Amino acid sequence: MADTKKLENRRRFLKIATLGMGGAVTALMSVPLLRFFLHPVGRRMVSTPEAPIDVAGVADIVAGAAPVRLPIIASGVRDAWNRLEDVAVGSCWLQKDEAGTVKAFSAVCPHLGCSVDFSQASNDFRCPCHNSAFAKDGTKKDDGPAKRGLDPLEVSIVDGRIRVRYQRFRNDIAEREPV
Amino acid sequence: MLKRVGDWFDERTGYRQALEKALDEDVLGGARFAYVFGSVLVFLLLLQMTTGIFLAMYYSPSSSDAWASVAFVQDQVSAGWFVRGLHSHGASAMVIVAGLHLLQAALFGAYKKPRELNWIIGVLMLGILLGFALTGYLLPWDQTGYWATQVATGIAGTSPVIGQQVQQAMQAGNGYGNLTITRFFALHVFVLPAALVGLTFVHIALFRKHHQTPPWWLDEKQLKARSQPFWPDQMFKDMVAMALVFAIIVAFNFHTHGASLDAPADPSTAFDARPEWYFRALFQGLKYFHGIFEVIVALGAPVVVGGVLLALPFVDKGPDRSPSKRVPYLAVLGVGVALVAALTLISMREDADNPEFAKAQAKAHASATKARELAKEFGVPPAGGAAVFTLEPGYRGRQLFLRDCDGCHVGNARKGPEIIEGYNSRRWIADLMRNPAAPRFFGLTKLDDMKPVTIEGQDFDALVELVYSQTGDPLVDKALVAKGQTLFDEGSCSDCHSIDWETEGEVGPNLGKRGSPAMLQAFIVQPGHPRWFGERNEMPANAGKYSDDELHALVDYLIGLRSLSPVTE
Ligand code: FES
Repeated sequence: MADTKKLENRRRFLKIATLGMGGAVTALMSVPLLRFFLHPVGRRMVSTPEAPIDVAGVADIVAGAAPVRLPIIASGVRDAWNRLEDVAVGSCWLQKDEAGTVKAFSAVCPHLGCSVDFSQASNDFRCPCHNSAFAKDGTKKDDGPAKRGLDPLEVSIVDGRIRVRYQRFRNDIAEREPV
Repeated sequence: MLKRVGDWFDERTGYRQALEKALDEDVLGGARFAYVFGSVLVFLLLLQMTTGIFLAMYYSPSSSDAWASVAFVQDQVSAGWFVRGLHSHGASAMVIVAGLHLLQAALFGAYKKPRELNWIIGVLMLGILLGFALTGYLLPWDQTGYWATQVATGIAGTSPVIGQQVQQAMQAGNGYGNLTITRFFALHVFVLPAALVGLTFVHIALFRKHHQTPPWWLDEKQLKARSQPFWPDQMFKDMVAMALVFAIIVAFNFHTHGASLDAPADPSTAFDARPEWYFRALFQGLKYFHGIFEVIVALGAPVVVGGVLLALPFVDKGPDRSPSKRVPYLAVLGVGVALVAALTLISMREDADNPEFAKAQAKAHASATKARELAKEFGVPPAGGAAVFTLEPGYRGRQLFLRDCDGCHVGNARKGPEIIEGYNSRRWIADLMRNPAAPRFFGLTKLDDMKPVTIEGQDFDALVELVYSQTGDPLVDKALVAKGQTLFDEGSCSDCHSIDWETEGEVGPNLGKRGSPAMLQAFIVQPGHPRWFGERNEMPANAGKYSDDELHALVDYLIGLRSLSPVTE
């Protein structure tokens, strides 16, 4: 009788010890794996260029004409392990008013990030994805789910060339928060 | 609560009964540490699958991206080196434990009826493990993996009749490239894992059908009497072994700081590659054979080893599992193991005793460190891993120097002063002044008629400092320079030289701004300018040859040499 009791205790111990060791190995292993998995969270894996980027000459844009879409071609872009030269990181809509003031909007829709088009017919910006509409000056029109107007990009003019500082903003919120 | 959830699932799946059935098995003769190897292998397989899946989240199988993505994991991703190291060392552990598993099975006679089929499956699984090693070694696309795998596919290419076809099928085409890596990757992460997991299930199922091969020294009655349940008695021992193996791998991983990663594969370099350690025996064995025999051994050895193992259950058919009754068969295995061990050790020893190899390794290591530092700092150009070297500051200048200047200024076929590490340093200037006609300086030119400077002590240092100060280095001893100027003006230096940049047409070159960026640029363009060598110049002029950028790069390189200590051999 005492023997069975002893045996039972022994097996109980073995079971707990086995599960304990297995649990410990799993727990120890999950820490590095989790850190590994979550590495890109909150880090810049694809860099956006900080410096303003040359997109066109001031004279190339017709004053008062419809906005034109121009690619933003950046150099020294880091994409995880790569260093990329002359890659398109996005595009912007440029317009010049009669007074010669140049404005630029990011072509990224502030709703969920589709690429916004300009409609000649209705003379406003339209997003093909969920039909958000924006006036020519970037303000949000009533139709469509976007929560704010198009995101303006900083424009500077140096030696007759237009430079745009490219930025991305968090989508689907009313405020403009750079990511 | 937990129990209710458990009940809910049990009602719908019957998992409790299944679990009970899985765990409830009597181990005849009692639980033993000799039986742990299979379980440890299952554990290692899980470890490899887990780490492998996680690595695949960062790995990019293309010849231009592979090295860069692995370097990214190794040097930048949190715990990246650790996960990658576990995967690599885990693979080594698997080979070792699989070997022990096989030896234990052989010793216990586990290949005998009715377990022949399971033995065969085990041997096949061992082959698959080696397939993993072969395909995995190439994936980082670093120098070692690239060149060692070249040897492996090269061996396949020597097989009779269909060699070329086999090689081209393995490497996907006429040479190494994107398709080689996608092919190896697909084999490594889809085909081989599927095969191994499938065979593992069959292996375990057959094992459960025939049970553990009990100790040969106990009879039926003793076996029964000493039997213990698998759960928890054997499982406990298994778990102890798993935890131990895990601890060893982790400790080793910390010790080595993960798996090694060489410089990116570069087909244009020579590289003294070694295969993974478990292929060392074959690698070494091949050294003893040449010509047709090399082919025979390379292809034959694996076939013979596999053949012997597969044939074992059909040759040794007697029912007696006692090793003393199976001496010849076990002896064959023993000799095989000893041979593999001996060849491996000899190979390691040969490398350890080979100073050439040590040198090559040191060079490879330096190049790997450089490549990985550059990759971390700048990222890797899309042209591929090896292009990372082009990002090194001074790279362009060095390339230009190698192309245009190296021939006359470096090495034995030199025609002018030697331009290597230390060029234009104080030491270099001092040596030149002491012995201008030395082959290092103007000895190989007709400009070898300057008289050595014989001034001693601080006066000499002052002259050196004066000449050195012309480079524009702000870190000079001003007082010493002033003193040098006086000595220069009053002594015999000024008989042949000026040091003001303006004066032209003297016997010796004007030393003004000597070694500064402006002077070097101007000099490279027109060394025969009357300020310098004039009519006596022997160096070709380079007017119009370089763009401003190129000239800058070249001069930056020359100036960079100044602060490097000279290579003395
Ligand atoms: S993404 Fe533009 S409207 Fe939804």
